[in-house]
Amino acid sequence: MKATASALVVAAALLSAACGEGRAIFIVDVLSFIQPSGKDTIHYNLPTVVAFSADSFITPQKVSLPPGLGKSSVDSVQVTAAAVIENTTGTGSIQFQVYFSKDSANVYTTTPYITANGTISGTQPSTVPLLPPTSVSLSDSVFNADQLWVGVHAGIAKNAGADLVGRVRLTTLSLRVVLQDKIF
Amino acid sequence: MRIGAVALALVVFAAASPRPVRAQFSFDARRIGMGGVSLTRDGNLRRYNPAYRAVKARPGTGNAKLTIPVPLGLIQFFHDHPINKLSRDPMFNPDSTAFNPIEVVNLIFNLPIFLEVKKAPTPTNDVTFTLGRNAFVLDLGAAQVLIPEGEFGLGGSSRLLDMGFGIKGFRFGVQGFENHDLGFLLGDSLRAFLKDADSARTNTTYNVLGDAIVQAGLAPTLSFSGRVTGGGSDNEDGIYLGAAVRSYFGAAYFRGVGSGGFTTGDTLFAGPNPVTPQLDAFTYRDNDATKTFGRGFGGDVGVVFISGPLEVGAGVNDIGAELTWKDTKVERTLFDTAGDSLATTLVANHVESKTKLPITYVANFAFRMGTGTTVGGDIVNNGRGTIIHVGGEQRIGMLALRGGVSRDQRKKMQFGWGGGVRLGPLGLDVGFWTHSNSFADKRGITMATSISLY
Repeated sequence: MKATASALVVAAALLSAACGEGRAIFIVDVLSFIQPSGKDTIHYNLPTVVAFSADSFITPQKVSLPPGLGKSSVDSVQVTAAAVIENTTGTGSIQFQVYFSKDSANVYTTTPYITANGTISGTQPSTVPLLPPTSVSLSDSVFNADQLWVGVHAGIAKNAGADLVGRVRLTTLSLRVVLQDKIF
Repeated sequence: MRIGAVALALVVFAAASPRPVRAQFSFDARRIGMGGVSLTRDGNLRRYNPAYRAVKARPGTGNAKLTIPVPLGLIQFFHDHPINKLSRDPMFNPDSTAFNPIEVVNLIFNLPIFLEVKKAPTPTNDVTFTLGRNAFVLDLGAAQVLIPEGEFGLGGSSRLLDMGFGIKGFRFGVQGFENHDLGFLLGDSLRAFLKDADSARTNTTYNVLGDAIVQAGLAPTLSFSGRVTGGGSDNEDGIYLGAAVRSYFGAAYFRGVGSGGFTTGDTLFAGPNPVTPQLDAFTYRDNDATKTFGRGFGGDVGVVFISGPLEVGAGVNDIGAELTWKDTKVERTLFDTAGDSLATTLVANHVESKTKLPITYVANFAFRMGTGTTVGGDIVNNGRGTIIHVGGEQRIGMLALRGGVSRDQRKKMQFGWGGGVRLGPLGLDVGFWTHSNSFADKRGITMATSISLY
């Protein structure tokens, strides 16, 4: 008899259903789902003296969404993300990508929703400004689900010189999903 | 799940609604045109005021032998919603994007008997959910006003039958009584979550407190009503008193008190993270109506004062009506988290318990000016909230103009106006009244039409 979905969400959705044709807006702090596992941080350590690059992918992390989302029609989605580089030594560049998928197996086989490039200049810490609030395609079916898998990829390229050591830490990753009022 | 959830939502909102259905207080367009007040000595007056048994119906006051509502609203409704297509009608189909549960509830509470000339708007506004792994905030926006802060529910008492005989002002009869009351109160956490956009918390119980009772039975009643002053005159002036003593024989009773909801886990949105249902309720019921009755005594009093054009009355019912049930079973129902099921245990059996019938009352006045003008008003409390009606009628030959105001159980002012024409034994009346449905602050306007036979 235990509920498999948050009854809080159910209760809330009941009330939202009572709000006529108004929109339901979900603001999801995706980062909060990732942080407990420590996957919000990607460490890098490229010790060679020659130019070198490496890729790092976090294990896909699940984000539980309100159960009603699976039957809702998505009106629009915005993704907001930011990260900070905490570099110890070396210089280079970083390509940062955020992926979303309905299932864990295909997280990294899809096109990233956010791609941002930054330069690791050596001044510490340096902030990599990722994309400002970004609209993705309307009615994106990825967000039309009860659960969401998120993946983060950091592609790091090292310049010649000192070892490139440090970490990239997500500071913001949130979704703003606007639904037509059809929670259930 | 969608249908079930919406149905649950309807129940919740229906329960939350403080009986707007009573706004459609009559099928008589004359009464509606006067804001709900009745200028005749019938209905609530004789029900609540035993003194009115001694007062004759005033001749020539416009008492109709029969009033037939003209259901223009039904015609319009079935034009818009063909009866052979109701199953596919978006209004009743939860899977339709046009489905709006509020409209359905409003339809239930404001049955479309009469024509809705101005519909109360269905509230629409955006609702924002902010959620994280251990956070969940619901901002209902303007819809927060819909969340009741205090107790909400429904209830009332009624006389199911009244049989008897009388002689010289005394009357002995047997009345059937019924009382039901269903009250809910949002728990502090749930109220803050819904009304104040407070974030949901882990390991916290969100629940609704409930208290429901239904009881019914028979009550042999001895009553007296009579004219204590002004007797012998050819007019109605005088003071009339009425009183009744009643012995209650409660036949059935059930009461449930408790809380129900759920308790959040260590995290709100992570892993399986089930919430745990929460239910803790005590129930009381009489064991066997054929062996014992719920016994008690109570009574009614009433007075009417008539002086020329002025008429004032007041009546109170079920004074001191406390029933003692000698053979009560008390049980407790809990949600057993270990067994993942409901468990009911016997708390006590064959014990005594007591219930009360709510005191109900009416106070009324009417003033007939002799120039065709009559004004009146009443205050009625049927055990859950007070309704006030004040209105008047101006007759000009065969025409009548009417107006009035009322304060409904939600303490909202409503307005009525209308008119009519009487052609011998036939009267045609129209009345307009404002009403507020449960989910909007703006008023709608209904036009009532009826035909009266005099």
